[in-house]
Amino acid sequence: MAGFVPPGTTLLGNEATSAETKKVNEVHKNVDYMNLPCPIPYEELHREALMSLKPEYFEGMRFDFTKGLNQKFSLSHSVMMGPVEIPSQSSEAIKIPTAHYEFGANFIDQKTMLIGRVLTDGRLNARVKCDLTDDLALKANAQLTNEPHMSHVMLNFDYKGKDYRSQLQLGNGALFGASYIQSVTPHLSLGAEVFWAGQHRKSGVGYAGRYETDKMVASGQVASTGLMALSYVQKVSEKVSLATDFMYNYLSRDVTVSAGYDYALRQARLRGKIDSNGCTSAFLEERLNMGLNFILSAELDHKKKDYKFGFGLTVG
Amino acid sequence: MASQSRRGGLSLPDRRGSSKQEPNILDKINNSQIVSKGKQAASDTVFVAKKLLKSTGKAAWIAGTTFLILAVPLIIEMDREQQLNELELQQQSLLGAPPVGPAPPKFIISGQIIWINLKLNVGVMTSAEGKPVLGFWFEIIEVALAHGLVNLSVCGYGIPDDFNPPEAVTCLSIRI
Repeated sequence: MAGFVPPGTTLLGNEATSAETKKVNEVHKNVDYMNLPCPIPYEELHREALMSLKPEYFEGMRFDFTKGLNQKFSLSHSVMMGPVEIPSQSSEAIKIPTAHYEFGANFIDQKTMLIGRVLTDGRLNARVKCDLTDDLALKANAQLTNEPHMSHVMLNFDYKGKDYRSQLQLGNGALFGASYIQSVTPHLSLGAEVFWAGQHRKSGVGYAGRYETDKMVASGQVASTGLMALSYVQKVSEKVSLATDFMYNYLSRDVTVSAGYDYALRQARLRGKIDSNGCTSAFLEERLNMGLNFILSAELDHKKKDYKFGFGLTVG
Repeated sequence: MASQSRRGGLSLPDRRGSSKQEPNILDKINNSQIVSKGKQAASDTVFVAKKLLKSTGKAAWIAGTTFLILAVPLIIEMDREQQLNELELQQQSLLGAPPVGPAPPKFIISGQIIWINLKLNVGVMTSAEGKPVLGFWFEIIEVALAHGLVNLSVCGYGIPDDFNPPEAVTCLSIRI
């Protein structure tokens, strides 16, 4: 965004002084409040922290194969075998070994994106993202299952202004939501959201803020459902970034702190995390060949003595 | 005992009485008090030491497994990155020399075999302990997933000095 010099190049002599003078000028110049950048969408507020701290851990074996038939159209086959955890009341986790195959089709265009997935246990996922005009975008997300009352649909209308974004959300079961986020300074953006769930008769308000510079991103979110989440990501170098996360539920007095690292090397991407619940986890994606990725996932929960390991292969 | 107490009077006579009359018992009591205290102290020490050992063991286990999951892959990946950097630096410094081939695989290449086959090989392979073993071996390939990338073969090996029948060993050979 505001970085002038691409990382990785060494500055010598004239270049260094000119870059420094440019930075000094920027600071002394009055901030042009009419030309603020567009903020990132409200639901992606914690994007960097989520990417670093919450990769998709899995247990068992996973194999993904994506084949492109066209420039815009591709098919994907995915096999997953492993124990799946069933939530239970007792402290022990009940795991049932399952295996399923998932077939998917993707159509990606400049203006539209259609993604569909079908699983062998009868679930259907569909996602649509469409740019109706330059500023208005429509997103739809549907999940249909065999079990009754477990299917849901969500519809989002996004309007992007010059330095703000607003979103209207409609879901089945009388779920309504709206959010608004505005850039206040070139680095800081603030937002708010309201939602109302008719089925559960709940409504809530939330506020969020995000401060980002070249080297770090700090974001915070408070909601009336009791959730308070703060996160901080520091980009130590172009390959390494460190992230921490603080989640507090002020209704149930539940605190969780986690810290992790994210190494994006040329041949591999390694993410590790340690938690205050006594849980450490790591996720490795290694590039064996062009288009061939080898994934390893490990999750150790020392408190519950629950250990999960997974390996997989991603092709294409 | 009753006659003794009556003789002693009202105040606590028993001790004096017993001390005057049977010093051996007092000594014994003292001794046994010390001894009992000593025994108590010893058992306390043993108890505390056991707990300390257990908690140290637990802490060591948690620290060890956490280090294994968080740090060991990182070290391995950083080492590979460093090796790759050195290789590139070498190539750049040579400037135009033919590129160095990939590092030889650590396991024995077993070749692409797609049908059930019996094959005799002579050479070097890694034994079960990981040490290089010189010998001959024949391969009975029962299952071969030959894609050019991964070959699985069942092979037996033996050292030529031995006349014992070779042991069957499962070896995974990966050709990269």
